[in-house]
Amino acid sequence: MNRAAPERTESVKRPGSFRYRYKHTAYLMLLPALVLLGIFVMWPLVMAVIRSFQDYNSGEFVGFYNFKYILKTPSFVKAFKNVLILTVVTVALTMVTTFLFALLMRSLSNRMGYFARACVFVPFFISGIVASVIFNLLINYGGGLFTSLLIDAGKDPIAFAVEDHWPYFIIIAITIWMTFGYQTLIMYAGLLQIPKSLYEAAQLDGANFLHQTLFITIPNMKNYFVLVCISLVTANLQMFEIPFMVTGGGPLESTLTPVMYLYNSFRDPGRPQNVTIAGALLVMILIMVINIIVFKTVRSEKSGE
Amino acid sequence: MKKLVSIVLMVSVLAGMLGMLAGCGGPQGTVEEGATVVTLYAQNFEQWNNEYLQKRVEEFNQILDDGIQLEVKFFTDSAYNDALMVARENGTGLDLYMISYGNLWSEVENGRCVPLNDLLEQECFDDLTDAGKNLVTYDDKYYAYPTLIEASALLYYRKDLLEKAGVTAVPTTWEELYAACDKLKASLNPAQYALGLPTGQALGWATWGMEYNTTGGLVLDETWKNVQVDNKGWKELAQFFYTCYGNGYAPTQQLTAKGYNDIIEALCQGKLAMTIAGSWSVAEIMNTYPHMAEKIGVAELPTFDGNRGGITATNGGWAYAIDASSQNKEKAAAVIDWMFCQSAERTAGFFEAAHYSKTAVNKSVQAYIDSHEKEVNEEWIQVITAVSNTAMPEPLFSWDITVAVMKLFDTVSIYATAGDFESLYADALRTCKSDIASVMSREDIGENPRLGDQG
Repeated sequence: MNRAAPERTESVKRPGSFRYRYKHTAYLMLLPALVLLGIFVMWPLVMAVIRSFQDYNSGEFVGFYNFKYILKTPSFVKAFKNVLILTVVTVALTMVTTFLFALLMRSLSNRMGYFARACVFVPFFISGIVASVIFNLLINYGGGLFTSLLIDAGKDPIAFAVEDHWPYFIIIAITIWMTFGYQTLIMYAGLLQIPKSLYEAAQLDGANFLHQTLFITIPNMKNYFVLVCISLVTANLQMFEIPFMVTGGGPLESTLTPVMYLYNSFRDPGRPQNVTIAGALLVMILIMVINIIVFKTVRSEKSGE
Repeated sequence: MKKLVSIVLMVSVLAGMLGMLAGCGGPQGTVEEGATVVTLYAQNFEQWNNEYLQKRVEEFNQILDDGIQLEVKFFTDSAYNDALMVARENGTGLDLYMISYGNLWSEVENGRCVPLNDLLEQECFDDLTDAGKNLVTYDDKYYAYPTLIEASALLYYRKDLLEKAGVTAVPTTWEELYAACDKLKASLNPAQYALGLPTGQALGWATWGMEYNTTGGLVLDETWKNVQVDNKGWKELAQFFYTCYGNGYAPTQQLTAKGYNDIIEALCQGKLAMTIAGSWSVAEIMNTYPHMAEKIGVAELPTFDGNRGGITATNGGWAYAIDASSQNKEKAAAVIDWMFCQSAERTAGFFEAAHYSKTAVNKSVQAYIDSHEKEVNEEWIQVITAVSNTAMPEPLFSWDITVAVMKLFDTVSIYATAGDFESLYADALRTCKSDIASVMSREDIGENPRLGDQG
């Protein structure tokens, strides 16, 4: 017995009508977020751009005067150089160490793996200020743990916040310690998504661990490396709490970062404030440019694939 | 029912919180009906300092017929300038505010405070010492009322530690200082140091007096057009720091939480045998380490050639200014008049609370202090007063210029054990001059408003 095809009824929708019907609802749901973004992000940004071209007291348009002023401030220029060096070193070390640790975690048993992940993730919950206070107690020249151990061992105390390259080492160490857990978990997640069949096939072909890492693991982890790299670069270019608390930007402004400089400058009544705003915009532009370069590089590689 | 109870509970908590918030920042002391509220922005200092000001505000508010209700708002030093800026941007009731002498010129230059000449009686200004007048006068107008003077650099020493090391006289020259440090170093343990020096930002501002004493001027000449860092004395001053750090007399890192501002704690705790510190340290000793007072001596800084009675420090301190945006300028001036001009006894109370670590700027107040017994070492007061009377005002050129000089001294200090002085100084001097040139090229450095005075 043949069944007749069902007749078209009113309930059959036109193509795209779903999108059309719910468009207004979508905008309504987005509206609170857009309003908040507008008030607390976009409007201050617009005002900052306008102010950066004005004299703070008279409101007169002064062109690029504020930008020239801050780019001729030796401390600000030095801060930029400092943060670029710190960022390159910190990002490189973090990526290598977290990747290697993630590889190690993958080879651990379940229980040990859980324990390792829990341990390394703990610093993630600690703020930069608290981490700095903890390390300050350890390296305190007047009686920190490390200083006491050195004195007990008959050595001279080391001024970790001042001497030689110790300030860099301490800042890099604290920064890596804090981000290690989170980035390791991202790397670990990346490792887990690589099909085991690839490793099995490689093993059959006689590939050892090194070959597998170089030709299977690393190529398949590229997107995760990019994610970690971008997040680390963006965070480190805005480095503030750790050098602020540990070294105060010294010695000789060698650990001064742009955000620290702007923080101090903003609180200095003797400094024209619109110059500080111009400096903040320059930092924002730097971060944007670096991120755009990274994204374009990734996109061109993806297009090539 | 459960839902109703939860709602009632939440509303009660919210109401309680709102009630508490409404109660916060309310009138301080007695409230005068219908009075104009004059707001004073004050920086958070030591606890005794804040309590003293609060007490004075409450005392002022007990006067119920002057039409003024004084309200003080305290801010930490890191938030203070933000608070001033926000108040000005929003136009929210900033009448009177504290300003350091070093920052007053910026306020005057940018029109943020008003002259007091027409707001206070002439007697108020006539009562000021010359040192006090110099600190707040520009173009023959008083732009703030000074409250105190603090000398930025004195030599404090532990008599017991010096005696133990065989140091029989307080050093007056750099050579004597080095000799004393050698003896101290031999007798102290590894966790102790012979001498504390300004570090960090303080290396910039606490050494202005030393710069003037050693070189005859500051890094810029009086016209602010010429850089003097190649003049005689600068290399010798840099060598002073190189010697102190190179020989291990001074610790390379600060020993206390606030560095130079509380370095006296390290002296009181025995970590330092001698230290350079500001006159405010006396209050710290008397408030926190009174049992150490007898063991501590105060002297003028040693100088390169032993000259005494010259400039070895700058005078810092705080003044009260009336904001240009204030709608209550006359009433704000009345507050200043009550606090500092009407009663020498009342004003002297602050200096008593400060254990005379600060010097009065009113002649009547100083006379009152001199005529009354003081529970503090007279020798300390004599030294502090003598140094304050010869100290110079803080210079007013851009702080970035001072940072360039600070880095010159810092370089030879930090690398004192790693390199020879000549090459270190040559590199540091080159960087210093380059930085100063960069700063001077970016803006019209302006004219020294104190042209003709010292600094």
